[in-house]
Amino acid sequence: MVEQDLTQLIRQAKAGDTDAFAVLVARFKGEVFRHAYAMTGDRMEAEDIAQEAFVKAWYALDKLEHAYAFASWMSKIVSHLCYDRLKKLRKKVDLQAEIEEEPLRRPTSNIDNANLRFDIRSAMEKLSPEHRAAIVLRDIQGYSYEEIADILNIPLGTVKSRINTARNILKKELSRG
Amino acid sequence: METHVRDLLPAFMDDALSETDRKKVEAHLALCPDCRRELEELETVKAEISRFYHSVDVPGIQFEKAVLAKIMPQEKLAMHYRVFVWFFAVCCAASVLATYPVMRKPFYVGMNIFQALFNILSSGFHIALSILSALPALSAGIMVVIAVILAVCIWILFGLLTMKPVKE
Repeated sequence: MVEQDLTQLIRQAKAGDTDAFAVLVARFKGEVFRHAYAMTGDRMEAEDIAQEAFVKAWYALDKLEHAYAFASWMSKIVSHLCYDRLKKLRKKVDLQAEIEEEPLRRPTSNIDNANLRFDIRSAMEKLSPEHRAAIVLRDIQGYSYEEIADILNIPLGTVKSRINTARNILKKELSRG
Repeated sequence: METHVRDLLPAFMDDALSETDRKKVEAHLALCPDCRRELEELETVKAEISRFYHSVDVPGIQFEKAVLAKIMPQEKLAMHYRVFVWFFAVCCAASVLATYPVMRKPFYVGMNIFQALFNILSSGFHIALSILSALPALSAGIMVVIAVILAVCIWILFGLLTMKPVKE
């Protein structure tokens, strides 16, 4: 979508044009849904969160200052919703303590493709919501470290540390097979 | 051989290292097969995760419809409310204007009646105050009642705070 079109659509949506907003939903639903799905690991939950995110966005459109920031603004909304939902569902898995007790050891074998086909979702579930959010924004959504720091409202050093930890946990889980 | 650079590899993959660290990692990778393998594995994991989530089916057209369905009723309701308020205000203004010549006299009569009622109420209030102030130890009684109410509120609040959540 051209930047100009996006600006125009957001302006129309701000003025109450639901058709323009529907076009925005169609354009961004993939990113929003994938984000929620990677965070929750549940398709129904992800769809529900994604819908809620767009409804929240509709009512908060006036707060969006720059059209080009729409995607990262949506990511902020989805991140908050996912945290809230995970809290509610008590699916939070905090591996931090375990990591501190048992430092990651270098795997002795390579990861082969067969191992990698095993359930990535279960490996993602081993991450705490905070680590999962960082890796989702980086590896699935493709945001830079600075953008992630802004979206999650955390220092840049914390982003690096969370991505580092998350990648090591994922590698360890996927190597385990 | 230099110290391994495993901690720097994730940021190296993302091109998020400083120039000095990047050169350090590159120099080390040229010499260390272990770290090269580590980097390859991390890159494979990253690629697989990205591939997996990008291959997930995105909800179809029903998704947009569901979002709009959640927005539209409230939008319509808000619009209907605004229309109703305007309509009501216009009707009131029109009825006042239309009935003014006929209702002028009754209007003033009505105003006098309202004024008289207001005076009666005001006098009653004063009488009640006078009676209450004549009662002995009134302020002490009020303080006791307030203290009892406060104690009950604090007890209820404490009960709520210490209540165990219901298991889902």
